[in-house]
Amino acid sequence: MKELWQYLDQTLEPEAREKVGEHLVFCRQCCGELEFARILQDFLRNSGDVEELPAEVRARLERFVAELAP
Amino acid sequence: MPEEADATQPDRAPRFAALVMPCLPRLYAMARRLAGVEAEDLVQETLLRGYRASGQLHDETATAPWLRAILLNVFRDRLRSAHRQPDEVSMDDVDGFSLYRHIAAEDPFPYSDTLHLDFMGLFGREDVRAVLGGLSPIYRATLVLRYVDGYATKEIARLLGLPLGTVLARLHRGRKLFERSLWEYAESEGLLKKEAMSR
Repeated sequence: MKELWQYLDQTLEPEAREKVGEHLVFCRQCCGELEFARILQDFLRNSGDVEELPAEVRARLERFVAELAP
Repeated sequence: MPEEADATQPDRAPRFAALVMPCLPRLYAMARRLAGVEAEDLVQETLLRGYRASGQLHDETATAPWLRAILLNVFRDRLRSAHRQPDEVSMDDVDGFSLYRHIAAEDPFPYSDTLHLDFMGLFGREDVRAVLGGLSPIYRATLVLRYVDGYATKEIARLLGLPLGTVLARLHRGRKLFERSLWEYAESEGLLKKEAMSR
């Protein structure tokens, strides 16, 4: 089913959302796909947790900011 | 008319530096997600534009979101100039792909009761980033802004200066490309073989 991610994102129109909800009641395959889409979203979300700024990059950016003044 | 930084104010630069330095880790992280190896260059241009417009920053507690907005503007401008002929992918290529069904069909771990979870267990954070980094920027940007940075689709449309329908279409294609790329990455990096041999 194409609309599962949109269903998770809540970007479907109400009528389409209702249809997907009704379909999910009896379709085991789509329930599995929906759960898997949730896992994929979590993977994407968690891929951005680290906010490391490498020391050499920080040093270059600090130098850049220091040299901004005319 | 934008308020340019006043060069006659001697404390302007150190004050600007003091404001932006604490924001650099998050700003750089966002740039990495959006632009990969071009992140540092993106941050530098953001800082340059920020400095020139620093007279517009009236609420210093809002420095971080103000810088992020500038960064997204810079990124949007770069996307536009780099993709005058957008690197759109034909839907025929990806629309029918479902990673969930593909894993079930290929059955890489025949004795597993949790096949899909085991497949996703192959990927560390760096692997997911590598897969995202391999996508075309127009798809990576919408996926990152939506699912990593948590922007609503309407907000993404506004930030990237795109119609909402274009953002939704790119999200759909981006998700499909991401799914297919995960499988291709697992194959090319030998993750499936390693996992199968360890069982």
